[in-house]
Amino acid sequence: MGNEQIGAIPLFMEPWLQNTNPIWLGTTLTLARNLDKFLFPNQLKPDPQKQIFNLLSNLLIQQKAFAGGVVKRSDECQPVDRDYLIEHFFLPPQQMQGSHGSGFVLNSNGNLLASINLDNHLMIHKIDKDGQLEKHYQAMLPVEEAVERNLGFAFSNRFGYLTALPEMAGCGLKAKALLQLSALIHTQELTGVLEKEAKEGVEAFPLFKDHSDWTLDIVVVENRYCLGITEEGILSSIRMFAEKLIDSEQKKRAEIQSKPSNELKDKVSRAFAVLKHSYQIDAKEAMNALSLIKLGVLLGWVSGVDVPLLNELFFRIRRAHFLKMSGENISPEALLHRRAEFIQKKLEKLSCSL
Amino acid sequence: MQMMNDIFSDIPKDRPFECNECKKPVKVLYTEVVGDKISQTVMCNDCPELEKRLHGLSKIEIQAKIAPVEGLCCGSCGTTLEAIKTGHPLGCAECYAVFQDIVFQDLLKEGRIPTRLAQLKPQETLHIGKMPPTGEHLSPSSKLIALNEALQATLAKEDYEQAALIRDQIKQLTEKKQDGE
Repeated sequence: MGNEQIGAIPLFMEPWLQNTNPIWLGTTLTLARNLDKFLFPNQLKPDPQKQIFNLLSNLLIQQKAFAGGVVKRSDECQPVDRDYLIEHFFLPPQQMQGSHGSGFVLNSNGNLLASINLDNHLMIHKIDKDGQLEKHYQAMLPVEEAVERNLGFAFSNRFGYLTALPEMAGCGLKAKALLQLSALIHTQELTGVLEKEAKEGVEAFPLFKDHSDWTLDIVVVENRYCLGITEEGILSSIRMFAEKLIDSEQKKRAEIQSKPSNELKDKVSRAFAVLKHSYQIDAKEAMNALSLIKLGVLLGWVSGVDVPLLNELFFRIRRAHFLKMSGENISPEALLHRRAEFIQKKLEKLSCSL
Repeated sequence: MQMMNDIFSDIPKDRPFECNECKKPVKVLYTEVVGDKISQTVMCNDCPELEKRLHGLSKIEIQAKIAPVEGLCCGSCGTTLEAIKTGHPLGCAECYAVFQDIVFQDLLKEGRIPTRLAQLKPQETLHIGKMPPTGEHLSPSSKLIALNEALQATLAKEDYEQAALIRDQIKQLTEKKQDGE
């Protein structure tokens, strides 16, 4: 491993370490706000953009939640930093197109991020590994309220907090639960369960919406409504829908354990072989194989690795995380082999009893 | 060129520099191989850069010759109805007042607000969540707006001494305080 810091933003692995959760992989919350009386970022000229960046970043870094954190302008960041934030915070890539006058404030734990002058003047992102949505939302509020007290937000009685994209106007809150529903996906029962449990105002989709497959066996549960609903309503509707999906997944896993299918055993065996013996492997193939191994561990077919390590590897093997962890500028071609080597080292005690 | 379906690729992909501020979703992955160097650029469907690379000219250069479409327009930021209909974001708080009916209808059509709100009369409140704190005070953002306007006015009058004073006030409001202040 090298010693170079890759990119401008240091690597944080929290909160994704020591995650023992077999199904609920993580939670992300985003609060979107625009400052009162300023044009939204897409219409701002460079000077007001820089002024807003300075105003907001100075105010945010003084908040307790961001104590010891880092402030980075977009022009100080490299593409690997942008990719790291996308990977770490599960952000949609199209939201991370920054121009001069935009930037980030990241806290010292790596679980709270404020992006400035991207889609909106301010977007606060909180991530965590458990499903305590209400607790995480409460943790964001002191930051949001401090900015509101000092600077004021664009608000209308009709549409609530005003955002550049109207679909976020109102509460300006997007909450996501990331669930690994491997048993339902690999037995082709997920679609039926989603239709049966469908709830108004909540949607379920793959890790990235423009993918047709369930990468990493992750189902993202997110609120469709930000307007005409309270913040508590958003969080409770997501939690209720997620709990129904988790219940279905647990039942399916129990069913598989008592009556395992050859097809699923074959998928887990192949995943084992791919991870143990590939000379090179891309992130998507590795992540899909790891999620099958995780299912295999939980069903008792695979041993020699625990769930926290597998949950950690889902992040470590992503390109930007891997480059920052390695401390070297690895070429794309070499990265494929280095990733395969890294996985084999981490999973050297992995064994499959099928 | 391939449809953008692999964001887990190990080859870094960037938008063309001219298109850094495009808000449209990425739909196209443009791969260029020159010798042994591979570069990948991501673009939206209507990207003028894509047109240039494929055909040597952009649609926008052709469309620039066509007269601008007349219609509703926000007086504060210049955002047009046409822009909103083609997926562009709103430009300011005033847009919500100017385009409120269209915004409401679009949110309803896209299933972004509860169906019970379809029965509401125009102008009725839709938001039932958190409210801002009440209390009149001149926020720093309002002061900043006022100072910027004053700066433009003094520069127009070529009163550079006054402009320098205003610029110092803007700097004080937006930059970090020194230790000990």
